Amino acid sequence: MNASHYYLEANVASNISETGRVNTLVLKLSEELKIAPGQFLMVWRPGDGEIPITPSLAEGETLCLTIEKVGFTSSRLASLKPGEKVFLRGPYGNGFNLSLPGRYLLVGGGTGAASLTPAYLSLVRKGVETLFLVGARNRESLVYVQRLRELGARFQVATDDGSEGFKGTLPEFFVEVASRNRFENVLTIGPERMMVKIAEKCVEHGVSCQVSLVRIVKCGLGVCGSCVLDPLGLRVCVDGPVFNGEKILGSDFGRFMRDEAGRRIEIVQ
Amino acid sequence: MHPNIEVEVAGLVLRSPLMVASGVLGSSGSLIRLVSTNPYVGAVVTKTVTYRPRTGFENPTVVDLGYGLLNAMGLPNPGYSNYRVELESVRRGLEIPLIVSIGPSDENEAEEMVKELDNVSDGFEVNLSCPHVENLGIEVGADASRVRGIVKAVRGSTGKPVLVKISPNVTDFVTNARTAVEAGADAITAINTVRGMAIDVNAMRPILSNIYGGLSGKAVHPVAVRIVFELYEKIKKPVVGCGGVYDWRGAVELILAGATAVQVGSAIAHSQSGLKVFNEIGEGVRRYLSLKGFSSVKQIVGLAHLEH
Repeated sequence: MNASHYYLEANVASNISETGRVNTLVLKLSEELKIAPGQFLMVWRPGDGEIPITPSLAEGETLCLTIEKVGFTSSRLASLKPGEKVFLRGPYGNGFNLSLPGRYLLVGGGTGAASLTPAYLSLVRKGVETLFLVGARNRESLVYVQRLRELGARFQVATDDGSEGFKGTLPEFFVEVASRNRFENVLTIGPERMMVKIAEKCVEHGVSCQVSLVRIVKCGLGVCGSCVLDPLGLRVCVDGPVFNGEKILGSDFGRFMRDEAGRRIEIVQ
Repeated sequence: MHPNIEVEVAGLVLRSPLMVASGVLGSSGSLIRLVSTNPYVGAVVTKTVTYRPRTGFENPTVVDLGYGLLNAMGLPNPGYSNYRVELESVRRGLEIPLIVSIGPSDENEAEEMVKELDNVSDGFEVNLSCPHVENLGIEVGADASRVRGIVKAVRGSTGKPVLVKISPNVTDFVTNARTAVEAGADAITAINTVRGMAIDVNAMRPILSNIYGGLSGKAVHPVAVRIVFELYEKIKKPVVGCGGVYDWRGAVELILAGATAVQVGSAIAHSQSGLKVFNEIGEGVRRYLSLKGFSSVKQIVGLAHLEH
């Protein structure tokens, strides 16, 4: 465990508006941060709180955080201006296993497209055959596609309403793409119900599937129980956030999470 | 020789003197079940539950100092009636005692909670010592008449063992423990966390959103040893030691100081091997007993005291 209470200082270099609800902060760090694709950081602004975020890019001293305005802390962080500071600790958790043999299909829904980008870049640099599917409700809700184009990424788009790319949901697009191509590995980040559908398809076809979950993380050390997946007793902060999809199907995955008070609440997305 | 490590605390027979301390892993049914499968876990104390649901404080709520943990979680919990449902399912088939930690702010809350939780628990630990929540914990624990009132209410509402967890953050913890015992406590758990804070030098701000927190882990171990040692001499009831037990030495030290059983908390977060830390401690205690020629861990309780 390399968690430490020492925070790394980061300056906001720019703030890019992705959609009305989503912004990407481009940060300049005071020193290089080593973080594996899929691992997360705790991102703190004194007075505004601290939340777990999986970076959308980590290259040397540049770090991108793509943040959806969900609650108070995320809304504050997503609204920061160039020159303002955030403080980072981590990395935490287990990232994606990118050394499994075979071809990779990446499926990113909403901000998941951004969080999957480090894994995509890492695979492509290793020369692994990789296809990246990104999706959203409509063209306006697509996240990070501009940055992906700048990075020279090969990706395909699906929108529920067909305003860009394939018309349909990501699981539908996934089935369509998978029927034409063979893949041995699937990585997915996005709304949990979407990930459940993808994981189920992967199990049907005997394909390895790694999913990344989001929960309320409090201690980040695996002791407080805020991010636990019942009935497995797996903790997202230390056992995850990346899990083998098959192993967690049938658990709280896609169905329940815990609120700030530890009450089990239904996952609606 | 295979020394016996079974102990008895306030009528509860524990297969091992090691208990999971409150606040660590005791928050969800699945985690309680998981820890209970470790043969060296003698009992689990749940996360403290309060009368009403509490969301706790904003992050950051925990600072990992390496030599300890500083936390101000703010007692997040679903409230006793929601928690009851969770405990109901976990207690079925549980092989070890489940001790429910409660944080009532007055007698009425204590009575209602204990009556409601009585048939899903094997005992209670009354948390009168959380150092960072207003009107709960230490604010209650520092006031002798409130301690008396709450412990009496708990005692009067259950026939099961009642432990009272005391704070090191008051000058007169002995009086507190005595008050609890007079009011009907069967055992005293010592200690809860020690008040502290941490400042980030880059942000130049306190790290915890609550500013102050409670220190646990290695750093507080000597404080726990000292308080257990003193309580062993001054109260007539068993003492459960808690504070910075990371290895068998730490556990043996507390037992020699007078602890009948020992709780383990922060070590679980710091251990590379997670729950296996219980195996390491438990096996180490057994090896120690064997080496020193004892047949039971009960024989070394309080041995560090001069009269022995």
